[in-house]
Amino acid sequence: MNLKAMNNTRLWSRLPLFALIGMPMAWIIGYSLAYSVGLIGLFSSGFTLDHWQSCLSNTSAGRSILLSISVAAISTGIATLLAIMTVVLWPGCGKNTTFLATVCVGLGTPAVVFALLVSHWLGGGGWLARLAWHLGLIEQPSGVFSLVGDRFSLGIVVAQVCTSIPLLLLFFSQMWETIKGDKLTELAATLGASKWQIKSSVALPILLRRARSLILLSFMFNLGSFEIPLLLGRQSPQMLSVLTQRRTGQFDISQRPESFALSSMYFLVTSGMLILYLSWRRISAKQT
Amino acid sequence: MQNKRKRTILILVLVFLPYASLLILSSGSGWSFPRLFPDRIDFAPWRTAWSGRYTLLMASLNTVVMSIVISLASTSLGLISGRALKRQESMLLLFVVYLPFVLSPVIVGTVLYDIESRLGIVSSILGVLIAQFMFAYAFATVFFYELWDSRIQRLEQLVQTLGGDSRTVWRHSILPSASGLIAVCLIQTSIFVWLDYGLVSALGGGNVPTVTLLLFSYLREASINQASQAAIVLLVGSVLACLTSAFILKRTRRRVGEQL
Repeated sequence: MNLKAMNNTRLWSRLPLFALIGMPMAWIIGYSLAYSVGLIGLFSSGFTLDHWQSCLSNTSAGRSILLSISVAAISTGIATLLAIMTVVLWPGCGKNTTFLATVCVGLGTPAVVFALLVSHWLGGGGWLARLAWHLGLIEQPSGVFSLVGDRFSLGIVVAQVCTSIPLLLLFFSQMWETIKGDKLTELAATLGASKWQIKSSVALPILLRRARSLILLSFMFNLGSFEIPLLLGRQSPQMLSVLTQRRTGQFDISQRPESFALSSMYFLVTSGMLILYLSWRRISAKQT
Repeated sequence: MQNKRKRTILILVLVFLPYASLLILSSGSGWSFPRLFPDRIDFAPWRTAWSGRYTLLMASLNTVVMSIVISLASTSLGLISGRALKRQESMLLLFVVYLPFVLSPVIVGTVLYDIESRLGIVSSILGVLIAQFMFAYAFATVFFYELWDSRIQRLEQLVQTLGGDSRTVWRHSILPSASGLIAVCLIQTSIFVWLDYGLVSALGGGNVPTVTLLLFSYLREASINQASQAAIVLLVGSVLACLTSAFILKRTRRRVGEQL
């Protein structure tokens, strides 16, 4: 094949990606940015940063951004920690069929079902509250701390941990086999490391280093989560995706530029994280 | 040994007990405090699932049809694009295909709403399908890019060396070798459509009945029994699909191991 033909083939194979994903994505991000700076839209009056300023100075939007980032970080952190602990305490889990089947069921469980289960079990009138009432521990449903619409967004964290943990468990258990974790820990033990040192200084750093891109991906999924905060979140502050959707769907169309400013912020933050993710992957690929 | 078995059973009960609550709640009507079980065990949600305007059956069928359309289109195009991406790794292209993969569908949906309303396809099945296709196509491309085997590439080279043209390469090396991956991708893209709520709610305008939309409408009406039933339908579909994918991947890996 000559050089010209090769270039033609390259161009044709790239075309659907640019036409069906690249262009719509560029259009979506461009439209969102243009709307947020007043270049288009019903109330457009030329370039302005007012909507961005009001969005950033608006306590409700600011609290929403802060809440989304902290909830996603806490959920991802807890899920990672639990997954690593499981693999380190049960090193052979990656070969256990029952474990793999259970993880597979967890992977197949939709986020909305996890949210529903949290509300059925840990909500104000949920099963735990009912059991507590039958045991004589409470007199009213309000006697237990409800995880639906709670002040600390604990319900969202619990549901997000449940959605994140199966993938992380699967990854860490397979990674343990790949890096020959058992042999590594045996070697560390013969060199005189204590059980705690083996876990904290050998297993943990290796697993965390290899999983950093997946952890970042998991954080991004939790940041954009919609169904879980919609069912379990409070009216104020709301998670970013719920707030954006509500502001866009409101009858008060004067709020739309602010909603687009929020979307643009989300797009920029996620794009930045995506670039970081791809760079990490490239570095890992070069190292292996 | 017996202790180990008991521990496994205990863990399984703890993991699967929450799921049992869905079955219990969907088997009756009402669930007033402090009852542990529904007020009446009459299987009403299952008996009435087939009647009414937007029935669960109709929503399920509609979602299945949408899943089939999207999975076929996105997997076939994703196979070509994923292979091309693997052969000419470019950071920009990777960024482009990963973007929909990590973005929140509902936020993209809210921005797409304006554009689709200008095109006159908002609140229609076409508008939802176009948006879902973009996400599923990106997923399929990432899937084939990540899982494209060096063995398939070697087979392609072998067929080319023996004088095969591009059609022969596809027919005799790519399609037979990647059949397991194609099946898994079809299943995964179907799951994406089956579970999508963000795009359907943002762009469907209530005119595109899906199981997730029905589930949320039951929750808004505080019909806890029907909501549990819709959750079971969603869950069964996606867990079965996940288990099938795992089975196919395991079988493919074993076959590759035997061939090597």
